Amino acid sequence: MNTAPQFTWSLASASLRQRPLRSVLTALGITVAVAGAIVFLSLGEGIRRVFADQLANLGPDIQVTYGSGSGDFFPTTPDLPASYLGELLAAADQLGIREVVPVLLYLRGGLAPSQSFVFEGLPADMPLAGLFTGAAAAQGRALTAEDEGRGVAVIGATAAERNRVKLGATLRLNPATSLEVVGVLGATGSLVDNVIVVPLTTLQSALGIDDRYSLLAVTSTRPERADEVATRIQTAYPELGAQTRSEIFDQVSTSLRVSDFVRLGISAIALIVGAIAVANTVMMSVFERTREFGVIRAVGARPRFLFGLVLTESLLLALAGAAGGILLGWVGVYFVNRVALDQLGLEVALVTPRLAAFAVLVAMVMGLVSGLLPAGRAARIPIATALARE
Amino acid sequence: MLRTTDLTKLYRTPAGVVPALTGVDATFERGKLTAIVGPSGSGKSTLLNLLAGFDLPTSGAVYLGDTSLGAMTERERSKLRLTRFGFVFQSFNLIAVLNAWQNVAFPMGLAGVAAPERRARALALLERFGLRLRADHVPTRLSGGERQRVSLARALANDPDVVFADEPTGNLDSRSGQVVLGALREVADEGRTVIVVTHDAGVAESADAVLDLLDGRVAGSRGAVLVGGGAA
Repeated sequence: MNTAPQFTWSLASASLRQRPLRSVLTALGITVAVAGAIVFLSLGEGIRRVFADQLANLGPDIQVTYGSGSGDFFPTTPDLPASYLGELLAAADQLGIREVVPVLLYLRGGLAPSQSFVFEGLPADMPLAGLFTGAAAAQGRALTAEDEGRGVAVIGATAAERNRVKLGATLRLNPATSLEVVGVLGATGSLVDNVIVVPLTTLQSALGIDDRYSLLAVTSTRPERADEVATRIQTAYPELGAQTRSEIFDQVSTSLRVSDFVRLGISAIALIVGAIAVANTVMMSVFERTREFGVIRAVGARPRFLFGLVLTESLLLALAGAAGGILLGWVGVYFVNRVALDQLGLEVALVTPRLAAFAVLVAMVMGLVSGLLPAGRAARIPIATALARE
Repeated sequence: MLRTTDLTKLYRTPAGVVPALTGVDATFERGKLTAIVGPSGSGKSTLLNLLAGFDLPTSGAVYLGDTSLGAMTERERSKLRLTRFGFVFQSFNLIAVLNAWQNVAFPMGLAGVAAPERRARALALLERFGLRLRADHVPTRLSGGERQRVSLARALANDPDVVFADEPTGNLDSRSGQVVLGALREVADEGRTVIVVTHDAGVAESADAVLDLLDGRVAGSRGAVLVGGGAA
């Protein structure tokens, strides 16, 4: 005598439709909780994608920094002695190095992210496409060897758009140094979109640093063996940190996983509040329907049927809430990305299928957990007592 | 055949132990409509709860054939109520979210009857009680008499041996009450045991047997109800 699941399902959905306002409001509570969780967690997914895209578009295989450089994807401290450039070039054949490019990074912060600029000092004769895949001037020109030491710059597409910088504009690097924008790069989807490329010596003299770099970008002779080259560099120069792209990505991912847990923790608060709302609603419904449950038991339903019925109602509410939560979360992520694009030039949030599946799973667990107590109560209602209830 | 032996039910309250039913011996025969009568607090509802397996006695037993309801597991009692018992309540107790035919089909669904057969059988039962045209109406759109007939149709959903009716005419006007009473009579005439708890003298008069309760004891009887003991 097994009751068909559709039978329970249709009765549960009919019960929820009987009290539409309450059902909608409860589902709305879950919707908001799930949407909040999606927006929070989508930040991790988006940042992961940004890093993956930007690393994929980097030409060099290895980043060499002073010290371990562990987890520092964007080392702005110029602490790498310039002498290492010569040492690596001298040992290039032995180490398996094809090219070494010195890089000096300078971050000029502002009160708002949109007022921050990243200046990247590179040898002016270095073709940008060698460092950033697809990088080329869309307006004006690229830097040339003659620009070394001059106050000129080429600006990335997103940085130009975000800061409304046009070709020929003047940028103030610091009170003593101004840079004329001689080129605007086309969008590449990589890090270069957000930076201002300045001749290396220009940036060095502007910052008063002529004997140090932020990092050395190393291209190996055999990219598929980049990890071996990194190990050789590390062995030969233990004071340096040599990281391949995949190592950098792994380290970034590890950091993101930590932040995932933090964001998950924050989301959990909203989810718990949502679960309590569902439990409260379903419990109220059980109290109100005590007599009805008594009748259902009287006509032959087993306690298990009522348990399943109440749990199904709870799960249906959670499912409806999850569907609404994913939609609302999507809208939220859209607005987060609009703000992030405006302020940072990046889409930092992303709703991936695994995130949507996770949201549904979390909502279902919420429904299950919050329905257990009322379902247990419904199953234990004594028939005679329930039938006597007015 | 349903029978009780020395059936006693005590309730523990803060004021002490209250006897709701004491030493009731009775037999309810097939094909007969038996009325349980008595003033409020006489133990009628308690007896019905025990007979139907809604509650268990403090001592004594209820037997269906040779099987004691108290010796059954809760699962077995549920199955018994589903397949061999039917219930009609004073306030109808139809499920508000289901329409008339769905209410009638509900016990069939619990019994695992396939959906098309459920609908066909439910409609046939509604037809029998003159409600075929009201099959798609929810309870709030039915009159009291119609609701009670739907309730009776539901009671017969799984072709039970025993039908219990708790004050089935209590919320009805006299004409509707007569219709429902006539329907219960038909059900008894089909060979089922029909047990009606009632305050209605008319119902008691038309019953084949009457069990009169007072203060939880059998105060009297008419027809072949008592099997001895317990009588005041």
